[in-house]
Amino acid sequence: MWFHPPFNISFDLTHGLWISGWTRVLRFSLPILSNRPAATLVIGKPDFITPDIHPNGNNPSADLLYAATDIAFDPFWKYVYLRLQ
Amino acid sequence: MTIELCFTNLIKLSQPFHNGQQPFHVVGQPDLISNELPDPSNANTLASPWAIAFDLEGNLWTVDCLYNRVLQYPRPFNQDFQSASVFIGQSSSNSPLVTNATADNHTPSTKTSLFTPSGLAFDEDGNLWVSDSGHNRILRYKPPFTAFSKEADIVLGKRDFIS
Repeated sequence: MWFHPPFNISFDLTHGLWISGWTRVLRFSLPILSNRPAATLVIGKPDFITPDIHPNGNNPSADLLYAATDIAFDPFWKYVYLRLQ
Repeated sequence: MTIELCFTNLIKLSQPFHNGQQPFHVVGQPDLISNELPDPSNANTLASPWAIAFDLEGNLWTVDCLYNRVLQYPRPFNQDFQSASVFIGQSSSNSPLVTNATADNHTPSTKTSLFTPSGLAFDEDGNLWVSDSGHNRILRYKPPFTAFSKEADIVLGKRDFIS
């Protein structure tokens, strides 16, 4: 699970740790008891093995991310917001 | 209370908020017009603070990106140019300034080091999580927090602390 690079961190209400990376966002389930745990969810990529690069440069698309630098949940924990730099 | 980020300082504004409001206090600079960037750092200077958070006790934390550290400011925040009391990622309050994030000034990856960190958050157990961007990893620190050379106990994104 190699980040490229990670930027910011947030938590959801169901013991999830969210990391905004470069072209993907990862969710890890808490508690984390050892180094290098596997993520349980990825946003911005179809799976965990697709490289952490944008196939079309920084062109926007509906299902890909580029420069996801900040992450936050709304006060009702229904939506997650990402800042794409 | 709201705190906003600037390049070399944090500012504090008090309620009630209104348009054009002036900051109440400044952290990282001696006053609201200074933009000092000493090399090495002091306990009360900042270089590119990227993120802020409060711990469960109400202390203020910030990522001090270009000094390769995460700082804690104990409450209350009632003076300008307040000194930090905890320096995660460093063995003293005097950190060299990152002027060019290239291999020749890259800080080695260890349990106690950071390189251009960019984010932080606290979980419900009071653990501090830091995005150590320059090392492509996430680190967890368990309280209590010592002033210097605090060791992380979990790493995400790497198999160990020195990779």
